This record gives sequence, C-alpha cells and structure tokens, in this order.
Amino acid sequence: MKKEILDSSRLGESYIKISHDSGLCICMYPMRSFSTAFAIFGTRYGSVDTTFRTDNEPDFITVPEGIAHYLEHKLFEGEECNAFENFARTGAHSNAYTTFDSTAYYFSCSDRFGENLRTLLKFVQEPYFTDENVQKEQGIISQEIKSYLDDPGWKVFFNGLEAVYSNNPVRINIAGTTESIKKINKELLNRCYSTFYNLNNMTLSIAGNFDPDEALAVCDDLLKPSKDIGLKTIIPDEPEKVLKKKVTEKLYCALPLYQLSFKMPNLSGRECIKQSHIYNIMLDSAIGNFSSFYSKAYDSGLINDTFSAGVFKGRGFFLPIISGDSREPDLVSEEVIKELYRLKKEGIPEEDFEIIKKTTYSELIGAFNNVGTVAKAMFNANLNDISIYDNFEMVSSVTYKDITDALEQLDIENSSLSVIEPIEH
Amino acid sequence: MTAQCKPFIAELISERKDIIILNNEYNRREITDNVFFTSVTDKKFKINKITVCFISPLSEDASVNAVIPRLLTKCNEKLDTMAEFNRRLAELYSASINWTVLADTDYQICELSAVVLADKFALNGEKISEEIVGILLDCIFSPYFENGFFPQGSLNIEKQNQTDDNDAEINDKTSYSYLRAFEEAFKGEPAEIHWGGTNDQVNRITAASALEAYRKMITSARTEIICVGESSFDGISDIFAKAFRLSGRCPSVLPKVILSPTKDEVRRVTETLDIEQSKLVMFFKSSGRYKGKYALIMVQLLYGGTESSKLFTIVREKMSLCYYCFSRCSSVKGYLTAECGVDAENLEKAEKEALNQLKEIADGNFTDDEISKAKLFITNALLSSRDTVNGISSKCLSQILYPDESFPIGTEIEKYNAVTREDIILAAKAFRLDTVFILRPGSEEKAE
Repeated sequence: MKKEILDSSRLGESYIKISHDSGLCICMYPMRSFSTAFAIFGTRYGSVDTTFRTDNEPDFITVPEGIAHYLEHKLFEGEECNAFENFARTGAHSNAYTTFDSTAYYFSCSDRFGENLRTLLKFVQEPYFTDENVQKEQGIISQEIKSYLDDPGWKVFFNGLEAVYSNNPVRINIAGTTESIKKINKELLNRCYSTFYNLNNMTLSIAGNFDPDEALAVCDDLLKPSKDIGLKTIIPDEPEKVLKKKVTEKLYCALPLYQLSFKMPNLSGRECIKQSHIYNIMLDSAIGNFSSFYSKAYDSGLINDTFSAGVFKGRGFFLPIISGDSREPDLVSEEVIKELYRLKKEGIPEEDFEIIKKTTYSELIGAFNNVGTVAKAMFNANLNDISIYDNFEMVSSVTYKDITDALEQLDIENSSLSVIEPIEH
Repeated sequence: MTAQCKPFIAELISERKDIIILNNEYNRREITDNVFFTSVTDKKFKINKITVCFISPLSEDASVNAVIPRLLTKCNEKLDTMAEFNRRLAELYSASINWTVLADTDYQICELSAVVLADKFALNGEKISEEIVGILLDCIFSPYFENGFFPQGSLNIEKQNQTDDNDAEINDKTSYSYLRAFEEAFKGEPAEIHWGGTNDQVNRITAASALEAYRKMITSARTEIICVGESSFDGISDIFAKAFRLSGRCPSVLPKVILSPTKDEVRRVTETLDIEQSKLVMFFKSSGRYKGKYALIMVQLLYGGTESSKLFTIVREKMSLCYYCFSRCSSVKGYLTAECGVDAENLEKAEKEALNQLKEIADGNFTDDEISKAKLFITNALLSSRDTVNGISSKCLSQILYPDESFPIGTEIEKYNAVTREDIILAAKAFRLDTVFILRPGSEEKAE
C-alpha cells in the first residue's frame, strides 16, 4: 500500500492520498476548522461508457444508454432498507449524481462521521436488484427524463452535442431515453455493476472535519478487495467534422438560447486538464467581460449577463463552448466568429492574458473555501490521474504563446450552433 | 494498516478541536439612522464578502427598485465604463461586484455585494480587500451619471434585461409553477408582487424615476451591511457610516409582515402549455392558527423536507409517480407547499395522496423515529450553514429581519429539540388547503 502526502505551499495545506490494499484510491483532506465533513465514493463510469470489455470477455459489448444513471438510482435501495433511511438516522444529508464520465455517491454531516462512512461504503458495495425494484424505478426515471425535455437550458446543450458528434455517446442524455431505459433489466445492471464498481476503478474522497484514523479503520473493515479485471472502455470513432452546422428547436422560454460549439480532438487525463486551462484562459482573454468584444456586444443589447465561454471536457470529449441567451442568436454567433478571426490575425492583447491568469489562480484558491468543493475536486482530479494542487502549477505555467497557439489551432469553421427559439405565448 | 498511517496523519493535523456552537456570535450595531453593520470573522475562509442590503416593502416600486442595483454594478464615477470596471475587478484577483434582488415575505431586498480573495493570497502583497470596499462604496454613492441622471443608454439596456428576466421565469417550469402558485395564494397582498415587478412597470421607468428610486433607496431604505470572511473588517463600518450620513438619511419604518388569511374556498388555477410533464403546486396556510415556528417547520420536514419524508417515500418511492416531490414552508408567512412533477394522468392521484399524507401527520400517524430523523436533519443543516460565507450571511439576515423567529444556531437547535409530538400534530392541523396550481400539457389556455 502506498501513502503520499501532497502539499501546497500557496495554501499552507496538505492532503493524504492512499492506494489501499483493496485496490481503492483514498484521498483525505482534513479541514478541522469547518463544522462538517463531506465524503464521496465514486466510480469512473458515466453515460459515455456504453461499450466496454474486461479480461473475462472476448469482445467489447455495447449496452443501452442510461445504465450508469439507472444504477445510481438503484444502489440506494438495499435488501432491508433504503440507504437514505440509514443516513437519516444520523442527520446526514446524502445524494448522488451521474455525469458523462463518472458516478458519485456522497454524504455530508456534522456528526457521527464514522457511522455515515460505514453506510456509504456498505450500500455502494452491496447492490440489491430484483426484477420488481428495477421495474419500479422506470417510472421515476421516466419522469426525470420528461422534466429535462421541457428545460430549454438542458435542450440547447444536448441538441448542441447531437449536432457536433455523430457517434460519441456524449450526445445522448445522461439518463438515457424513455425508450432505452425500457431495455434495462436486472441482468444488465448486475453486469455493468460488476464491471465498473470494481475498487480499482473507484475513488473515496473525504474533506472537512473528520478523523482520518477513523476513516481508515472503516475502510479496512468494509472494503472488499477487488482484483484488477483489465477494464477497457472505448468511445466510437468520430469524424473530424461536426455533424450539423445548425440545429433549432422551439420550446417555452423568454428569449432564444444559443450554444456555439467548436469541435476538437478528444483529450484525456492530465493533458485534457492542462489544455482546458489554456483554452479557458484564451477564451476569457479574447471575449471575456472586459474585452472590447464584450463591451460592444453588451452595450448594443446583443448579449447580456448570461453570456459565457468555457470548455466542456471529460473522458472522450473536449469542446470549447460559447452560450447564453439573446434576441439575435445567429448574430451573436457571427460576431463571436468574426472576433475570433480578427484576434487570430491581430493577436490577443498580452496584458489581458496576464490579468486572466491572475483571475484563474484566484478562482482556484477560492475553490478551497468549501468542504464539498474540495472533496469533489479531489475526486475529479483522481479520475484524471492528477493531484488537485497540480492545477496551480498548470495555470502558472501557461504562457502567452500557449494561448496564441490555442487560438491558432481552433478550427472556427468546424463549429455548430444550437438554438432554442421561444414558442409564441 | 492504521498503525502505519498514524505517523503520516499526526504530521498533518493539529490537536482535534470540539465543535463550538456559538450564540450571539454576530457583532451587529447601528452605525447611523437605520443603517446596521454586522461582521463575522472566520479565519477558515479564503475570501471576504461584503453585502449591502436595502430592504423595503414590496410595492409598485418593485420594478424600478430592481433595476437600480443592475445599474450600480456595471460601473461608477471613477471606473466609468463597463470594460474598465470589469478589468479593474479582474486585476484584483477576480473580485466581483454582484447584485441580487429578491422578494422575501412582504419585503423586497436589493443586495449589492463584493466578493474578494483574502489579502494573504495576493501574490505581491496587494491590499485587495481595501480597494474592493472602495469600489463598492463608489458604486453605491458615486454612480456614473450623465447630466445628473443614469445614462439613458444604460437605463434602456437594464430595463430590457429586467423584462427579459421577468419573462425568463417560464424557462424553468418547476420554479415558474411555484411562482404562479405563490402569486395566486397571496393575491391582493404585498407578497403577491414579483421581485422584479411587472414588465409594464419596468417599461414606464424614466431617467427621473430611476434617479428618485436610487435616492430613496440610499436615504430611506432600512439598510443592513453584512460582512463575512477571513478579514477582521476593521474600519469598514466607519467608512460606511460616513458615506450614509453624507447621503442625508431620512429612514422609513419597515412594516411588520402581514399574516395571510386562508381563502374560504380553495382557489384552483390551471394553465396549459405544450410540455411533456405536468406540475402540481399546492399551498396550505396556517394563518395564525398555530404560532410556533419550530413545530411548523418540523411538519414541513416530516411532510416533504427530507428523503425520509412522507412525500418522498410514498408519492415518489412507493407510488413511483414522480421524480421530485417535496415541500417548502415559511413560518413567517405561515405557508406550506406540496410540489411535484407528474404525468398529466396522475395529477389527481398525486393531489389526493399529498392531501392524505398531510392528514396522516395531523392524525398523529408518524413515528418517534421520524421525529428524531427530522431533528437530526435540521441540526445538521444548521451546523452546515456555518461552513460557507453565503450560509452565514443568509442566517445573519434571517435573524436580523425576523428577530422573533430566528435565533443563533445553538438556540435554534435547542428549540427544535424541544418540539413534541403534540406540537407537531397541532401545527399540522393548523394548515388548510388554500390554492392549487396546475401546469399541464395542452393547447394554451388558462382555466379556472
């Protein structure tokens, strides 16, 4: 078993990273002046992971969309009682979430941390699926999917992904579709559970006011050693070009919503995180809120406070995105593209780049203000095989040349515009 | 394994401290006429937040009041363009000057806040907190004017943004349904008024009326300045006191929150839109029939406030009718809700079961275990609020606005623990159905 202490001289703080004998990676960040502790137990398994194999299988298999999310719902249900009930006995707040590339179960508490950690480790490691309880969940998840279909923010985003990607499962709603979830049964859930909920594929991340000795003792007691089964997942090959240049849908909303996405090659792990910092700094320097573009567009009423630019990234996808709402979404897209071409020719002001680096550093520091944010950051960092403190070094090492290269490499024509237009009412 | 870890862990952590529940930890004082200053210093935070809250009764001035903070947070007399203003904030390590306007019971609260990294993290020893306080003060007391008024161009933009925000309530169907139900439940009362007023009122704002509203806000609104963060905030109260005195304070009294009567007949409102999922929002009112805040909130927790509640375990988990099914309440206005998203064919079933589950509580059909879980939940939530700057700020404001209803955390926990089964039953019996709002799929019409 390997133990590391990772520290940050900037923050004056440290955390422990342990490769536990069971196969699990454990990250612990004591923050003793806080009142609460936050623990996440999660797996590198998300909605994009529909095609996979292990050493026990001869070939890759593809399963219906929505299983990662379905499992997230089902794991709370135990043979004797629901995990929520166990957390309720201590007053802890618990929940879970599924993203494109991970699923996480968490609790936060101000007392009885050890008991809550026991509950967390037990329920995630002890699935209980029956034909009846699997069927029952369909109704609940179906309602969840329907609520998203009425949400213009959700739809502009997913329509945008569908327009960019031809084959990548990131284009599908994380919860699946009302059709795909009908194909999910107990056998499929068991198969995906045993494949992805292997401790070698998982991380336990704890931050806040807790006793690391106690946490380790609970882990020693409850973690079931897992053999590395050689899990491999693949994202289907993707054409270089976007599938559609524009997609439009009508929903009930006040103003049109837009999302302009620039297709780029996939990245993963440390390189993905590093490039996301570079592209975020580049976009903020180019069209951020003190740029000449932003002032002109805001003062003319073309954009408003909803305008944002950033990188949507994860295992198997890397997509700079500009979004917001506007009366003239097509004009926003045209003006952004025009500005990016202008800056490619004339260059981003170097002093703006230096300011944005400082703001990025500050935002990283600010993230250590909250136990839940720290726990999530450690969890996500571990999924990408980096330390949370690596972000400081990555940001401080970004150069002006890096962002000019990033702008140069951005294939502006290889972009797609998603618009939600209001239904008249 | 544990024995091997101990040396590493001992190096990392200092002696364990007990959790200290503090009473009277907020240092609040009046610094000039009806302007109060509260500060909470907590070295665990890495940022500082200074919030100036202008509190006035909800009225026909809601619209113009909502536009003022938008104007004040874009620039000021010294940083007189948005680009220059945003650039300076970015140079101050991504400091921000924000606005929030909300409706809380019968009040409209217009907040201007500054959030800034603690000085100790500045790379070159800059005094960033001091400068950001200066910028915030300039925003409030030295706004950018042209010929003595807010620039017409800026005013037009922010009026447009306000009407857009008012219209955008429909984007989120869950929150739209709640707001519509709220409007119907409190029709004819100040609480009915939306935080942003109405679009007609926004469109009637002129440069003169905006100036008048701005002057009224800084001279007469009840003002609470709440500072939370790593800093000691020394000297800031004096700076604010001087600025407010110079503005010429002539404060008005904030009226007490009105008790809302329960309608004799349940008001039912249905709206249709071309949507996938129906929304059901039910408003119950207590109307003073029971006055104990802590028992009222215990009812809400048992009914639909946690994952162990009746609405979650029965309507969602057992009946599989919905993905979300919860309740919220206000002890100050005396209301309780039941809210869910369901298929249209299950609306009646969901409404019937929501009524039934409240009756179960009023009939005493809940266990000691359920009470205990609810008390533990609220204790955890109260203690958790001390772990974020926003949690502490909100708690401060709640204690300040509703001193008969909100106390320091330690006292609140004691009061919740003192609630008995009989208190909960009496409180549940006090709630009567007042309003039902339904949003359902269909061609657009409003039916009543």
